[in-house]
Amino acid sequence: MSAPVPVSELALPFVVPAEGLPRGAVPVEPAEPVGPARRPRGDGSSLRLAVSLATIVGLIALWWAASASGLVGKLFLPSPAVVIERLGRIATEGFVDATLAQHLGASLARVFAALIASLAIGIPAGFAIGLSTVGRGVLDPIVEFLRPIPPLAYLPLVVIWAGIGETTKVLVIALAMLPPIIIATSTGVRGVARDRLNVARALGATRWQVLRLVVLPSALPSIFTGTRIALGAGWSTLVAAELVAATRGVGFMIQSAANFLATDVVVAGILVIAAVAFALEFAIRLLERSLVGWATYG
Amino acid sequence: MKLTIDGLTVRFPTPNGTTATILEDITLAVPAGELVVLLGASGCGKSTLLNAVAGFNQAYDGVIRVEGRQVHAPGADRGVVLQTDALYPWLNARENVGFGLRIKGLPKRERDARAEEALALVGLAGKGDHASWQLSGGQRQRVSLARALIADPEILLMDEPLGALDALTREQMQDLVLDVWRRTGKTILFVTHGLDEALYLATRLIVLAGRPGRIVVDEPSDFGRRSLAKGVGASVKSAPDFSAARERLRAALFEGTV
Repeated sequence: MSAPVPVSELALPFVVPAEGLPRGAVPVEPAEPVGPARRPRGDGSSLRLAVSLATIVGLIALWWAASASGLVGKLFLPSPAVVIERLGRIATEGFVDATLAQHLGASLARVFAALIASLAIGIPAGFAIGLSTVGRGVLDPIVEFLRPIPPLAYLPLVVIWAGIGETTKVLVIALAMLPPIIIATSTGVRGVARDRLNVARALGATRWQVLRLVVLPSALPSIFTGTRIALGAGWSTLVAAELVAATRGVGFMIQSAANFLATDVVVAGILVIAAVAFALEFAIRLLERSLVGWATYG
Repeated sequence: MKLTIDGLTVRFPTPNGTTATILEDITLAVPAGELVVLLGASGCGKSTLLNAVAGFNQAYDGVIRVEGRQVHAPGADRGVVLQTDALYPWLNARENVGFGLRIKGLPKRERDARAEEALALVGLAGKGDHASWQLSGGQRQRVSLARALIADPEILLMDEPLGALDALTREQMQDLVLDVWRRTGKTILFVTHGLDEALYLATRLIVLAGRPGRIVVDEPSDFGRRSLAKGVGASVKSAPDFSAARERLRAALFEGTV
């Protein structure tokens, strides 16, 4: 397990002044290494892991004690055993006409479709903001307008525009994923050290070659950070996206369960979302380490 | 002439709305094969001059020609080595050196072969697979030099390339620069604020001083050639005329007169 990235680092792309730095006016420092610093082994990381595990075990014990003692009603908090048992039944028998795998598959397909769409739009948009004053002038207000709006607020509008099909669900998730990717990309693009660009230009590189061979790789660690934040935002939006005319999906499953007051399914669904989000985060960290591991060393 | 600079004047806007003249009416001609060292105190405009020649700063008056062709934008005819090595950390040493050939569209096999030759020239044979962060500061600067040489530029522009190195590495690298200069016959414009370094390397010494910066000394120097004649590693830095020249230059640097 890699070291957790401090919140201040995760929030880095959001604290860039809206007007940005005047490009070329100040010597730009090389981008901060985005990946977690690799520490030598045996510096207490195993102790930290043990403490984290103990915390999780403690929370589960507390949960079990609360429901077993009858302190909290079954309707409000089913016991861990009931939730696990229910999870098993959802996996085998299913819930509202679909198994857990089918619900999860539907949700994952939406999140990944949204991820691909927001990367395809967000990376070029981030480049436009990072490279051109006009691009920044046009796109910055749009991004800053979009970023703070909760998905539930624009959901009705997206339904009116795009109907109640799959497009709407993907669109809602993609709208939540877009700002972090755009902001992280533009931050990475703006942060490329001037000497790196000058060296390539002095070797006769065209503008396109500088973009492809120097700016893009330099910005990649930042784009990865943006993608990680975007995936988190995407999962957060899933339940909202599956509010409308869904027949499958983990978010849909949770909402249906709430209608029947099936608290055990709600809790099971929450745990599934948390576990999948954790697994995705882990996978993307591995990918990050293999693709932009150099960023740790600069 | 490899490089001619005609009436170069550079002005920068200042924060309070006026303009500051950094360089005024610099005229200079560099024949092929010279190792010209541009010496100046901090802020005298020596890096500004080099940035204009390299094409990184294109807001100037005057005309700069390389081999008689007027230049403005950066181009492969002028190789640069900067104080920060500016290696690309996602590429290994060999790929960094071969970057200029990749830009020209050469196939990988040829790039790699020529990069290995260039690495050998700077004393890094067999280090091609090393990531840039696995190399020491001196080694990184050697890679940076090899990267500039591989594009076979008409002139090599070096902007305080040894400025960030420790004293011992710096001395070794000075010998390396002389060695590479002798073996390739390249014309070099070398910017530094180190008196010893300037005297040791130069075949021709130019001192910039004053505000705006002007050329106050332009004279031939032969310590570099003498070092080479004695063999790399032999120092002329303790010769009596070296110290004498050093004192004279120091005066020129700080008073703007010889």
